[in-house]
Amino acid sequence: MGQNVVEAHTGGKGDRHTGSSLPHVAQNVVETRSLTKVYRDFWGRKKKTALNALDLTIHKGEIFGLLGPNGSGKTTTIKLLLGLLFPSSGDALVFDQPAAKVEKNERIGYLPEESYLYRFLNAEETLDFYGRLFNMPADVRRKRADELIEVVGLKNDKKRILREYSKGMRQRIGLAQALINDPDLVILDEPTSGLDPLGTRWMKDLILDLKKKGKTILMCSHRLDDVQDVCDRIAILYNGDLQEQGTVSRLVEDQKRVNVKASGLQMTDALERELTAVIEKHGGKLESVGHPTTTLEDLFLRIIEESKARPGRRYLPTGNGN
Amino acid sequence: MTTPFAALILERDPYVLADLPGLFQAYLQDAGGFLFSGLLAFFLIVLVKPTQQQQTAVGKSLSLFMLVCVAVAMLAYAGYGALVIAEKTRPQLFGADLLNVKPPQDPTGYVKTVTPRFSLLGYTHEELPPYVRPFIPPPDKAGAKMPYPWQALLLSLGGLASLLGAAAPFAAGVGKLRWRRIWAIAVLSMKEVYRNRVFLAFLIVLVPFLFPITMFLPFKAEDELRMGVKWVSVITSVLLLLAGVLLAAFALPNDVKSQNIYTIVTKPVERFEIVLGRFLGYVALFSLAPLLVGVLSLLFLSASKPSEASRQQTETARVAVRGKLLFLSRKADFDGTDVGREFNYRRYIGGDPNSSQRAVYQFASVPSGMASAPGQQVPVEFTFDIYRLTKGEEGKGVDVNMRITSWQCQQRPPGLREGTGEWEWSDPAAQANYKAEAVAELLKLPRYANDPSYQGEPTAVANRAVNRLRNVTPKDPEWAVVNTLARKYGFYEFAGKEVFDYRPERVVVPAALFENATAGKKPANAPAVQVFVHCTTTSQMLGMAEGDLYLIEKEQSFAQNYLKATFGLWCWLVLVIGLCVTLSTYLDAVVTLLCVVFLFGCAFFTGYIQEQAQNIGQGQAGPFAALNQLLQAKSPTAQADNTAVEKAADTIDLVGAKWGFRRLLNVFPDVEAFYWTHYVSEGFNVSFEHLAMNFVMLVAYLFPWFLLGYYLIRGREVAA
Ligand SMILES: Nc1ncnc2c1ncn2[C@@H]1O[C@H](COP(=O)(O)OP(=O)(O)OP(=O)(O)O)[C@@H](O)[C@H]1O
Ligand SMILES: [Mg+2]
Repeated sequence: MGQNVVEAHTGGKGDRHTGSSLPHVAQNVVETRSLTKVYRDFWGRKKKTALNALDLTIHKGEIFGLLGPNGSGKTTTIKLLLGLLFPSSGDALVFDQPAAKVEKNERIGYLPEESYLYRFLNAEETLDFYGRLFNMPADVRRKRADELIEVVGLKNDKKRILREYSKGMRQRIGLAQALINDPDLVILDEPTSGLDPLGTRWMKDLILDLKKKGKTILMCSHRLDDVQDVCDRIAILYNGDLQEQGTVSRLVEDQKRVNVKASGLQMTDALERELTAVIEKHGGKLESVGHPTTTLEDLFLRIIEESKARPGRRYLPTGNGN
Repeated sequence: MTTPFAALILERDPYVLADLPGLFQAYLQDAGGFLFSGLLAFFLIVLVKPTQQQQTAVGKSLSLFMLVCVAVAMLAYAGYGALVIAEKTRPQLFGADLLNVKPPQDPTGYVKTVTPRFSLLGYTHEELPPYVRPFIPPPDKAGAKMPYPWQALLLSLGGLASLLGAAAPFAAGVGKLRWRRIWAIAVLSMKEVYRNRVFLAFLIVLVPFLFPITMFLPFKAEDELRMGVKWVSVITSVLLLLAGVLLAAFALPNDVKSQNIYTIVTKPVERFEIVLGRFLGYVALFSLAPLLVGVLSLLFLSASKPSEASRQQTETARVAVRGKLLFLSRKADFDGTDVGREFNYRRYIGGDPNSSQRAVYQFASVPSGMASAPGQQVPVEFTFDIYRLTKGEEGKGVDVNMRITSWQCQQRPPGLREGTGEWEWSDPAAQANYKAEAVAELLKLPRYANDPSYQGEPTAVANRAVNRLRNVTPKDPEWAVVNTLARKYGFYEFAGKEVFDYRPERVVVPAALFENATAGKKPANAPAVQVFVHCTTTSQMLGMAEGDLYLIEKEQSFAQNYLKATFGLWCWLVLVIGLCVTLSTYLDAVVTLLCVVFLFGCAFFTGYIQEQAQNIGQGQAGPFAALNQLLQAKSPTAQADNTAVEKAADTIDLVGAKWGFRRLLNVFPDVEAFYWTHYVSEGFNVSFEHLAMNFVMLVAYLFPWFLLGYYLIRGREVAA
């Protein structure tokens, strides 16, 4: 849906607004042009080239994933886009403005790699504080804070100070503060780190939900399954260099292989023989056949759901793969 | 024998509202100079290696304006430099400084730190600082203006341009600041202190109050309260300042270190709002502290039951009126005698009944309320120094006559050939009337009406009457007579006051004299009231400085004075918090801490450093002359043989080093201007005018630092 909205609006590229308000016409929410970052020490000596001539574009309404191993420059890219760092060369544009501009922040939500929040505040106060930074009037702040506490599921803990929160709870309140201004661009640095599988699922659903509301999302992660599950497009960084960029389906799809899934029958030799014959007839080769194993994530999720539905009972597997 | 009050010896006058134009001119020149160096450095860096970071720091749009400002400033400074060289021999007045003249230390002034003067409208010879007046020939016509001080104008212009240039991007950004955000960060700072229980550390301030004051030092009974005030003030100031520095220096660096700042600067927050918010938060937090500590320490002081003697000395708040000091005698060039005591800024008059030497305190104006002072009396307090030429009688002081006149009763010194040293009225007819009326008024009292010595030869009777009136106290029935006469003639004299070396004394003046002084139309430059001090004990010299004698307008409550003085402590706190917050926009917490402690600590020694600078060119070689001597392998005591190089070095030393040095010292805050404890401990009132000036000085000093902080935080890579 988001994509459609974008197509409908791409006409007016000529009349770009230079002011802070409404560059809705822009197709690219984020754009970097040979963005380079060299970390230097106090004396200007080079420490590390963390990012090397990165060209990226992120379109409105998509979920974009930055992928890469530790130290590949994902967080550096995000910090450059947020103006926390200044580029050594090249440009970082957000909503068609240089990333160093403060005004763009009105429309951005940012969840840092770890939730760096003031630990002596409680959840409510935290959201109120960040609401004030958006210059929101008191009633708006109250309303937004209540909604978001509900959304991130911290209703019962909203009066506790963050020092007492667990990692996952902090990640949730961190997400809530990132959404306090109902941002158009949400930047998430390792959103699922520290979350249990349930939390991960919840986070992924939330991200997809945001997309449905027309938000653009930039997230980075080194957990491939997360990225694969939610991202429309990804870029893979390694050692500061862009290695690959494209839609997830294109990058992941294997054109030379075919998957078959069937239910209501047991595996027998006869079945395997007949399948082999059919496949060979079409010029293919049967690689493997057998009962599927569920992923541990699926299993875990099912157990938790089961125990929620029937508290006090141990989970009993219900047959194989049904 | 104790005296009922104490003296306050000041090294400098506190600033008053009338000093504002002069202070402003000096501020333009000094702060402008600093900002010019900053601007220049910035432009050089941008020229060499422009980065996005620098653009972000200043905001792009205004760099043209800044360029124009820098250009104007450069032109002004170049013109100034050219004038300095061209007018090398012509004295120039800037603020307090005179170039090309060797100002000797002001011998009569007790004020060592000279208040900057305003000279941009031109000035007359009389407006020159007294210590340089003798060195500069006055213009042909009396009262005419001196040649216009173009150097001062150019220097101020350069400063103004620099100030505008440096402040322009800041001014353009001010509109984006939002009070709600600033206050949110201020509240956050306060909550942080409260929730992290840092405030418990403040309680350490209270520890000294647990012990009675007399436990610490053995005091003389009369000093108990005075020392108590000082002691409590030192302890509370040190502890509060320490707490303030620690909190403020660590705030921003901690935010950066814990990376909390990421979530803040990625909101639509102007980065300077963080600086302001932190600053206001801590200032708010510390605003109550001085007052609280003030009330507590007052209670503590009264609970420690100070002796009656010490309460008499300290437990008041006298409102003093201070004047200017001149030395006059029948000889026109008399300027007091320097008895050659080292470290003594007093000048002396010779003692003799027939001496014409007078120390004259001139009060340009007097508060109108003095005319209706309670008990028809206004005290004059003084503390004089006695220099004995012959060994006097043990335990005996010297005798002093004190004549107080209003502007309506001018006095003139005896002529060179006159046998007497007595000063007479400028208007002999008035003096004769005075004498006649003195007799008439005295005779109205029953005591004199029947006294045969007040009958007979008129001149003798008149002299007797005048003499009698020179020795009355407010308790005497003659006090009414004295008042009547003073009201009419503006004249009063007290004779034979015995004063002791360096001990506070007091003479009371009929209040009606001030009625006379405030009535009628006073000529603009005549002092309203003058006090003539005459030492009548032969072979003794009486030394005095400007601060040694003053009138007491009224006395106010000690407690309110004590609390008012805590405003000075508040200013100190705001000062260090401001410095900490602005410096920590760039520096690490510990480095910030050290810098602020250095700036604040050195500030107490600027007086000393300045004195050293004053001595340059007076026997002591300045840095450039010393360098030149060193290069030529000369011994510093070798005779200077006036080569061109040496002359140039001397000029640079005098013009550049001495003057530039004083300006450089302005990096340090003027901490002494905020120090009022000695006022409280000696029982002198701190006026609201002084406190208002404190506030002005505080804002003015912090402004350039906040400018610096503004650019530093904007240009900072918080995530690096
Ligand atoms: N402040 C800094 N000073 C010097 N080098 C830095 C700094 N921050 C990051 N780096 C270096 O830059 C490179 C990229 O770091 P970055 O944090 O962007 O990686 P990342 O992809 O986010 O890694 P991770 O998955 O571990 O979060 C790393 O080699 C890192 O050591
Ligand atoms: Mg990272």
